[in-house]
Amino acid sequence: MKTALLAILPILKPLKMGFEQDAEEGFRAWRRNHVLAAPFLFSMLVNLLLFAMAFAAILLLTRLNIWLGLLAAIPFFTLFFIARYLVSARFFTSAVNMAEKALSGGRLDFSDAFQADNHTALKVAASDIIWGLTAFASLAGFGMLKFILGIDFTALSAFLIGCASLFTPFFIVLSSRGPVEAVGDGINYLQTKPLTVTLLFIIRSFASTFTGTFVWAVLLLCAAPLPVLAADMISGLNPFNPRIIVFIALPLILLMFLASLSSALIVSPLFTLWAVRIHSGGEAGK
Amino acid sequence: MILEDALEKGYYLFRRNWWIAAIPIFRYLLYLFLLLPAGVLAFSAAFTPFQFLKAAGLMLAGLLFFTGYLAVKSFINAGFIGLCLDLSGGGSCSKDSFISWIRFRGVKLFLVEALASLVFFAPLLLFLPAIAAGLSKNPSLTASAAIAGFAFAIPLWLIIRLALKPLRYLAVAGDLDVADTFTQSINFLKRHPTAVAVLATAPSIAGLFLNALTTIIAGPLTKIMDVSSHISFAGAEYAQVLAGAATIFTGVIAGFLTSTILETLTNLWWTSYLKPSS
Repeated sequence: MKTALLAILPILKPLKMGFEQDAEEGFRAWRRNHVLAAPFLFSMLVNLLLFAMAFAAILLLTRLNIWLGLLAAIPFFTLFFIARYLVSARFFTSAVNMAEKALSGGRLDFSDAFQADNHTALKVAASDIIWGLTAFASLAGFGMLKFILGIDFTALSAFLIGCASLFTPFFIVLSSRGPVEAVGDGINYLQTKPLTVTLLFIIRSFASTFTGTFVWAVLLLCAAPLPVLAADMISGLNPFNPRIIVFIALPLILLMFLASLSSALIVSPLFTLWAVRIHSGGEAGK
Repeated sequence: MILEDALEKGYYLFRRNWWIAAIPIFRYLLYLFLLLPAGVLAFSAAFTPFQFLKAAGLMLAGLLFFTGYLAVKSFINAGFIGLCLDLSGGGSCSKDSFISWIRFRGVKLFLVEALASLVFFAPLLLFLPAIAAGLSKNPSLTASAAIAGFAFAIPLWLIIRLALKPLRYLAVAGDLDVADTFTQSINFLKRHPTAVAVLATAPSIAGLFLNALTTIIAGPLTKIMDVSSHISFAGAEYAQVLAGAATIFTGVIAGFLTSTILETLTNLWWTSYLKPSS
């Protein structure tokens, strides 16, 4: 027992190598280059604008004729989704290039957020659409299986698809692969390096949960004065009072906005740095 | 050790020594034994005509259960983590080793766990303003104070949870006193945030696989029960009763198995990471 304990004494200083080192290098690069959040912020803002435009157009048509509005909703939202994929892919391509530059010690510029090859961005959007459709098909298939037999593989399939799709866009941007080839590469990478891919998935989920907790805290703090402020309305209890609707809607909108903002500022740039470092032969990618 | 190697080694050790997952089951049985005297005490106190005896009896039962629960948890975990450390170090595990780890580290882990419980419940103090507002019978102020309490308590709980993650492993593995164990646990989080984050999240990913596997048996049984409760055919009642019993049984077994497997895997991952390769 004593000898066993003596052997354990160095435990307090385990070696820091492999994925752990990659993660910390990525974190250091993020702290040096906050401008890396710019493409994700622009992507978020343009997507919000696109959604608002699609929503406003449908609302306007519904005012003219309700059936016309409902009919227009399908093409408008399809267009919105395609535009969303294209915009996100364009800015994501810039972000990957910026991350590569940041990791190689280069100085990042604000204008880098707008520099991306359109052809590559199109390929990234195509691979995103392929994975989106795969996820939809798997959810539908396993959803049916759950409904008919009660066997629930939905969460597991979502996790596996999430892992397989993790490196796909990086293969397109960094290794100049086509969308279908990159999807295959993503699956192969998961097969050859399951632990690295899973670790990246885990650490990204953790970063989302961690920032999400603080988003909730900020939201609750903002919502704390509401019961006191709305006390007269609650005592009147008129649920159709527009002020009550505003009081309920505002925190929800704020929550969605803060969640997107925290993702754009922290989680997405960090994830891009980690993935680029691993893909470019970091400790875990070797 | 490198995190990836530790995870692989932990899984490998689990496959070779899967039977040590019986230790948490043994601990659950001990909890049940503990519940019995505490339950008898609470039950007899509840039917006492004297208010003072009733309150004292219930408090005593609660105290007995909580202290006993903490003691059983700490002592068994000391042995369990000790065995995992032996395995991670390349050794074998035996009943004698299990008992000697309990004797060697049980009391220390009990003290550490008791202090950790206090630390974990400390953010409840943030709800004191809400309680005070509640006592003054001001509902809107109570709601505001409670929401503000949650706003501060939720992130605090997350950080405390993370800082306390390595605690029990350091308490068993390290030659440190109780206060130093807490300091080292916080230092560990500062030095190895990635490892703590991964080791804290990895069991839930493993849980995804285990939960999906258990639904292969439990899912169809639940469906049989649903169908037999809606369609009448000869023996439908029997089918429903049988399927119901089987579902509950599978659920309990699956729940127990999932939690014990995950706990064993977690312990082996932690000890493999902490212990240098040999």
